[in-house]
This record gives sequence, C-alpha cells and structure tokens, in this order.
Amino acid sequence: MRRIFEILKATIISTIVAFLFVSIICYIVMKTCKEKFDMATSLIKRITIQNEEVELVNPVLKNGVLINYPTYGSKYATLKIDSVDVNLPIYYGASYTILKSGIAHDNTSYFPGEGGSVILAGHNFKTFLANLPKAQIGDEIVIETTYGNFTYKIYDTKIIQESEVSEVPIQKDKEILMIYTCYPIHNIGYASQRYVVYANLIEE
Amino acid sequence: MNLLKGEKVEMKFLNMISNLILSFLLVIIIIVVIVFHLASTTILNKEYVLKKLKETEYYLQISREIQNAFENYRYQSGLPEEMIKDLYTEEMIQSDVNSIVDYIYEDKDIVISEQQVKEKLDTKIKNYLVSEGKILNKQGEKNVQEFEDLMMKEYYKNFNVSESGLKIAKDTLNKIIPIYVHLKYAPLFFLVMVFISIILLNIKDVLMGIRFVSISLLTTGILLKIGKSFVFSHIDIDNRIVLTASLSNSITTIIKEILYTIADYGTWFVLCGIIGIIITSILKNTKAREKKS
Repeated sequence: MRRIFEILKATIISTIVAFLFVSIICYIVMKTCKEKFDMATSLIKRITIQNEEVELVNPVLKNGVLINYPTYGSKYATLKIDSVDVNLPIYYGASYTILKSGIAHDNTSYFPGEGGSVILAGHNFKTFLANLPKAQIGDEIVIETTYGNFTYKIYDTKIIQESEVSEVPIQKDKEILMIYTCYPIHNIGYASQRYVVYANLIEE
Repeated sequence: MNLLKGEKVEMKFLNMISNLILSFLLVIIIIVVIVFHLASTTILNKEYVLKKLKETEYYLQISREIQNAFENYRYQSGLPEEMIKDLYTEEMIQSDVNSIVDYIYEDKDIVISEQQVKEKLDTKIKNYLVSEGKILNKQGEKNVQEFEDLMMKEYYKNFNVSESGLKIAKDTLNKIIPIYVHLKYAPLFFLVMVFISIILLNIKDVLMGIRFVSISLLTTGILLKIGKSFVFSHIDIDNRIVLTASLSNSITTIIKEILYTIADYGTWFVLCGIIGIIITSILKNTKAREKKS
C-alpha cells in the first residue's frame, strides 16, 4: 500500500511538472504569437467563404423601404406579361443557376415598391423571354410579390450593347422597371446585345 | 559535515534545475522535429499532394465544374447540348492540374490545353452549322468567335483559379523548401544532443534521466492535442470554401489529415510519457527499497 502510494506520488509530481511545462509554453506562445495567429485567422476568413445554411425570410415593405430582403437565390415574386404570354418566377440575384430557373433580379437594383430602378433579366429562350421583343408600348407588366402586387406600363424599348450600362441606370428618383434579355433572340454563339423594355409604375 | 550536506543539497538542486531546463528544451525540439517531418511528408511533398488530389476525386470534380460552366454559356448560345460534349478528356484534365502543381512546386511554366478545347468546339460548331444549313453573317461569326473565346477562358479559369494565389503559394514554397533542405537534420542533431545531455547529467541515476525524458514526451503529447483542438475551435475547416468547391474539398482533406496526424502523435506521446513515468517510478521505488533493506 505504502509502495503504491509512493509510486502514485512520484507519478503525480511528474505529471504536474509536465502540465507546468504545458502552461509555460502556452503562455509564451499566446504572448508572442497571439497577434500573428489572429491575423492569420482573419486572413483565412477573408480569403475563404463560410458555407452555411441561410434562413429564408419574408420581405416586408414599410414606407417605401423593404425590410428583410429576400435571401439570395430565393423566389420572391412572379413576372406576368399577358400580351406576350410571360408568366415566370423572379429570383433574387443574378447567377447562372438563377437564370436557368427563371427571371433574375439584379441585386444592385431596388425592389418593386421602393421607388427606384427595378432591373430584371432573363434568357431569350421560348419558355422564357423569347417573346419580349413582341411586347408593345402601352402593354402592362404585373409583378406579384410576397408583399404586394405592382403594375407597370411599357413606355419604351431599346436594343443596346451589353457594355452600355448607362442605358439601364440605377436611380432612386422614380420607380422604373427595366427587363432585358439577350439579343438577337435566335442568336448563335455569344449575344453581345440586349433587348430592354422600360416600364413605369402605374398601380401598387 | 553540515557543509558537505549543504553542498550536496546545492548540487541536487542544480541538478534538478538543469534537468528541468533540458527537459523543457527537449519538448520544443521534439515539436520542431514533428513539424519538419510532417511538412516534408505532406505539403512540401509534391507526390503527396498529387496523391491527395486523386483520392479526393479533384480531377472528376473539376471536370464537373467545367461542364457546368460550359452549360451556363451554352444555355444562352442557341447551340445544342452536343456542342459541349467531349470537348476535353480525363487525361487533359489530369495533365492540366499536374501542370499547376508543377508550377507551384518546381516553378515550371503553366501549360493548360484551353486552345485544344477551343479548336474542338470550333470544329463542332462549324459542322453543326453546315448540317443545319445555317450561314452566319459577319456579326454572327463574331458572336460564335466570342462564344468560343469565353468557353476557352472558362476552361482555363478552372485550373488557374487565382493567378495571385498560385504565385503566393509558389513563392512561399520556394522560400520554405531551401530553408528546410538546409536545416532538415538540425532538429534531429539537437534532439540527440539534448537526450545525451540528460542521460549524462543523470549518469548516476539513469532512471531519473528517463523520467525527465518521459515528462518531455507527456508535455509534447498534451501540447499536440491542445494545438489540434485550438485550430479546430477557431477555424471551421469543414465549412470554409476556398475559391471553388473542388479545391476546398482537397485542401480541407489535407489540412484535416495533418491535424489528425498531429493528434495521433499527441496520443502516442502522452501514452509513452505516462508509461515512462510510471515504470521509472516503480523501478526507482524498487531500487530505493532494495537499498534500504
């Protein structure tokens, strides 16, 4: 018994010495390298992105300002142009994945009801916006959102080069809906032109 | 007599301090040896990286990402799906990825086969237009050319994901590898020196020397375990994306393997340390009892 106690005592003392070493080394490392480690961690967080699940929220329009923007990539509205048989979902964002599913909402533009430029884009195939050039001045466009319905009337159409971004301006003075698609419609290869439809808000 | 006793106590005290200092140094040297060993067998080793890329199916994933990207452009091009099929082979993908790895590790020129992809695509489009009886005007030809250029750039982009990033990786390795080559035997040399010093210092009581070595092993093991847990707690390695999903998968696999290896070494060192401490305690106790009797 006494022997076991002595062996245990020696073992515990040695273990305590080991933990003392650990504490000293950890203290020295934290004192000398903490700043460098924090810099490295923030650099890693800056050059990488977090792959996390995003919670879907419902947008709410209050005094002309949208509270709770839709989650990027989520469907938040439907685009209807009865005169050219268009009835498509509108997604927030403008990635290739979104454009394959429906109409993309340019996330640098405003939302319907906010009183600024609302810019939407879609592919020019048959089931999407192939018929957009057939829309006439005076035709109505309806955007049904989760927070309300908005009706617009077309007042202009244009064919622009893709680099002419000034023809699709972001502004907050007046609510203008701009919908564009690649042009020519039956183009083969890369279409460097865009067909743009401009519409004013007439009913909220 | 008292003076002699006093001198003996002083000698014992100095001996203890020296043992503690050497034991402490041994911990640091063992960690440096482990770091050198891990670095040389993993991130500084081109063959290891190529092996990991194969194991994580990087070549297959990058092929899928390229095909996805091609499909995005094809979608808006008015061309059928067949146009983007079989534009590249598995061998081309492997050769192009290996070219990037060779650039990072051996500073060789990057050679990507995007031009071959463009030529295949061009042939397919021309054949398609002929079969459909479509004749393009000047603007149409320009659109097709631009489409082919975009596809070519897209193919290239999937390998040379970040020019600046690759350059930083190459420059960093080019700085580290020569230093490693110069110093690779130094930690082992110091390890042997410190170990011999501990044994010589405790020549009259070798068990004490072995005990201090065991304390060093235990300390090293605990530090390795703490290190691995610290990294995992501060960086969510599983959920970080580096440039592309395929690259992230390979990089996180390599990092996790290194960290788990560190944790394994930690476990072994802790076990060896504890066993060493217990055995030396038992033997010392037995020796002391024999001396008493």
